[in-house]
Amino acid sequence: MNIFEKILEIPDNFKIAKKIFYICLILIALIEIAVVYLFHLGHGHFWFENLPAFGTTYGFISCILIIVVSKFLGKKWLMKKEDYYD
Amino acid sequence: MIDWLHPGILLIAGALLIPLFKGRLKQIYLVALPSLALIVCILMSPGTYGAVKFLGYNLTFGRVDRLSLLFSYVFTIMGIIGIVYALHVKDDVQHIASMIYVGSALGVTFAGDLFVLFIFWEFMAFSATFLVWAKRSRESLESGFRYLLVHIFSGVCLLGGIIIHLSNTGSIAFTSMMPFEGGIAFYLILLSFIINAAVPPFGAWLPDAYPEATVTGAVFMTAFTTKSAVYVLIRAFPGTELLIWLGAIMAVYGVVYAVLENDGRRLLAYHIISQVGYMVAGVGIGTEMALNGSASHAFAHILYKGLLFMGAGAVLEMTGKRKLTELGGIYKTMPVTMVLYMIGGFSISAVPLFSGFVSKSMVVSAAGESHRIFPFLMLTLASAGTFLHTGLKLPYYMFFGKDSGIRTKEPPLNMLIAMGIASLLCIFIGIFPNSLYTYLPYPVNYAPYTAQHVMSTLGILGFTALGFFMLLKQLDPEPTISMDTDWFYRKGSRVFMWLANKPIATLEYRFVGEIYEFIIQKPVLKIAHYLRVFDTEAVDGTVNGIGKFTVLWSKAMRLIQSGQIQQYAVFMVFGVLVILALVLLL
Repeated sequence: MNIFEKILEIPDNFKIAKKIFYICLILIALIEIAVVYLFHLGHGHFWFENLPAFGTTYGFISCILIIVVSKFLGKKWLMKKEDYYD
Repeated sequence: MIDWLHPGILLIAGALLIPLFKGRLKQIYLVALPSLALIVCILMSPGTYGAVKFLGYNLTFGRVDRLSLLFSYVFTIMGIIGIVYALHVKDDVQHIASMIYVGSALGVTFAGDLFVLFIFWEFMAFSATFLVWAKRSRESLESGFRYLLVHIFSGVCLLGGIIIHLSNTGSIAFTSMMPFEGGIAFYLILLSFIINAAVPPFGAWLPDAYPEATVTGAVFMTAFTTKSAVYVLIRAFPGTELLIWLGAIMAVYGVVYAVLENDGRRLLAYHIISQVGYMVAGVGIGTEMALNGSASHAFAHILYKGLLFMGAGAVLEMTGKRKLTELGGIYKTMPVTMVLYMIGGFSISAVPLFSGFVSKSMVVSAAGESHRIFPFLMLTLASAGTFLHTGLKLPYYMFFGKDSGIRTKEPPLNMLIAMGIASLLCIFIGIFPNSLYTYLPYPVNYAPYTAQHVMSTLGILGFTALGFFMLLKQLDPEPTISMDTDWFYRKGSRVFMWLANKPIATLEYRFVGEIYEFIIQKPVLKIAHYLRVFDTEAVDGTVNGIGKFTVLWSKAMRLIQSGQIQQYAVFMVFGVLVILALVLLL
């Protein structure tokens, strides 16, 4: 059993890993806000880059948009059976 | 007198000697060849070398400056990594093709005029085709032919552009095309370059051919064709507004297809298109910072994309499976491969401390500095997509996910070593960005590690991961293929064959044949019939009639031709009397 199996295959360890993941996400969002509003280190090229937690929000929206729009295009149009060209 | 050794010609000539070596000696020779080329590149100093007069034109094989040196370093480094990865392969065709391929990419890099550029451009296309064909399957044969046809088309556009440019300006020097913007030569050469850079809608050859190449051949292919195209774009088309939009669209385009893709290496191929989009956009923005960004991103990209293809290739090599629907749980038996792949995944996703972070952000920041809001937003969105697929989806379904039950082992040592070298370089560039920045064509005035940049990047990546796990069910790969613009020539050729077999053949047999029968065959027969009737009735009748008449006449004459003089005399006297009577009476 390698170290990755120990994390993923043992349910207790996996729960801890999940918890760490969520804590990291919260910390990232908070620090991103703090960098601009507490330490005044914001120097974005556009006004929206200095909005609270821009990266966090934009990353999340991008991810959802990409999945939903791509799957929609794929289902309606682009995805074909594997023998499509045969 | 040789005052300058061309590293590309060294590789091409050296490639032809590969079959002479055997066993361990061959492996040493294979690694020595690109290593020697790298040393030659490192020892080179800027200047113009290898000028040859040919048919009244000045050909320049060696234009050495900061830009060509940067690309020559990464091309030869990737040549070494690629050949180490392929050392276990016992197929000289692949080794020869890959070394000629690397050599011709170097030829393009150092080309100082358009003729030399064209020659190496064609060399690249042909040698790369052999890396596809070397898999020796029906799919790779067909795919290789499509690859070759697209690149021959690109070569023809380039040649046409060169000839028009030459007749317009009288010069074949390979310099910026911007003074000639708007001319036919400008657009033909641009078209040729963006076909090789896989810019949609001309980019479908890339995800078509790369997954059909051999495991080791694909690693070479990821590095050279698109990035040498980026190099020539930086040379000839800096500041072409059109390229900003093409690049931004490209970046998103590759991401959309990657959602749908089930073949691991094809997913990665779509992310080449996405990543080259950043470089193309950088060329379009055209500021010093943007061009630095394009060049440095090409450098970083070659290493991490090679690493990713090596990782996916190692899984393919060991399991024989390429579809995500058939893989899963491989991390249990291939943990080292998984970790090395993830280093490539973090690099392409621009995770801080990995190479993509210091190179990609230069292009995005250049878009910001020139206040181009939509390219900026599109490129940032594509960053989220890059992590979503290359850093999350592909490794999740390939290495983790639902256990497919496949139990295998780590790939051969040479493959792991090659991946290890690439990984180290990815991390080294990420931690020490100045080691790359000092070689960029323009002075660098850019600091990637600012608090806001690091935190917003982590925010984008972290919350992309959150979105991924939330919508995991949506992303389950499906056993499908995705329609791309290769549809036009794949289905197009089918339509052509159908046209030939069905309507045209039917038209020929049913209609043209009928018409032929109606207007030619039938009248001819009819006329022949009349002629025959005429022949039998008239011609033969005349002849026969004459014959019959002669016979009848002979029968009648026979009665009076008795042969007795007395009778003849009587007839003669009688005749004379009749004439006399007639004369007297009338």
